[in-house]
Amino acid sequence: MTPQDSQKVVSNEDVKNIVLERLKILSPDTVISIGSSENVSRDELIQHVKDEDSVGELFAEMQMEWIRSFKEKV
Amino acid sequence: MLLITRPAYELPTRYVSAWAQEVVDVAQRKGITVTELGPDRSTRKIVESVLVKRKPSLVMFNGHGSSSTIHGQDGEILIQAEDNEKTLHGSITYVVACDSAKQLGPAAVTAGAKAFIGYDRSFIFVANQHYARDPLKDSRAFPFFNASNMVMISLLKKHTVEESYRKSQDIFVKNISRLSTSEASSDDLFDAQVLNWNMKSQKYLGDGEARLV
Repeated sequence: MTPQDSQKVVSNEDVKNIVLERLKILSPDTVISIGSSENVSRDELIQHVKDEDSVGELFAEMQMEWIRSFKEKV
Repeated sequence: MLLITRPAYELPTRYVSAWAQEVVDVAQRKGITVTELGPDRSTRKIVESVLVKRKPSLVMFNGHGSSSTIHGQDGEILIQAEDNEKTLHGSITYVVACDSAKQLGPAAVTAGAKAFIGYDRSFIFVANQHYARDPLKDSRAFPFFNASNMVMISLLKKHTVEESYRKSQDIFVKNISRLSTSEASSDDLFDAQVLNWNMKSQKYLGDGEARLV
């Protein structure tokens, strides 16, 4: 693991597990369009998170932002 | 006059351009002249020509983008920072694409655009793959484009840039709330997270008091 990898949100095992649990229960016909990158199926997105690549990182950041938005409301 | 690009060559562009029909309909109902560039006309040559010769007061780009570019049919670059952003001079521009509010937006405003509304991170939406060929029937995609289109619908109603941005943000909040109740499904909750991401990525730059004249 490089120093850069260790700074990834998705490299945090707790975060990664939360994201994966969230994705596993999505409908199988879900397709996610991620801007210029690509559009991915639920199972492809799960693989991106497991691979800790840029798409996986984006969804880990999204999960953390969602949690923070709830904390702000409380 | 409204200039609107509607490239369509894969799922994301097919969806974004299909859902832009609502904007075209509102403009036409209001008697506003619309120059609509479909897949075969969403090219740099035609876009530049319309921008320079007809100087539309309102411009909507749909499709892909990056921090410094907006793309048209088959990914052709239509507008690029430090290249032809000055063609947006005098216009209010809304870009439904990724990242363009990061670098291109400020460059366009510096070059004389009245205002630039867009996203400074990825613009993401969720869809049901069964509707890939009929995007307007995909109820799952509705909350994403319903919130996004509000920018243009409000501008077409002669509201200011800031008011239009606020109205879009309000629709994001409303749709997020609707999808994150205690009875929400796992799909609903996921879609609410994505909407929350888009809402926080949406930015406006330039004159917030500018409006369609």
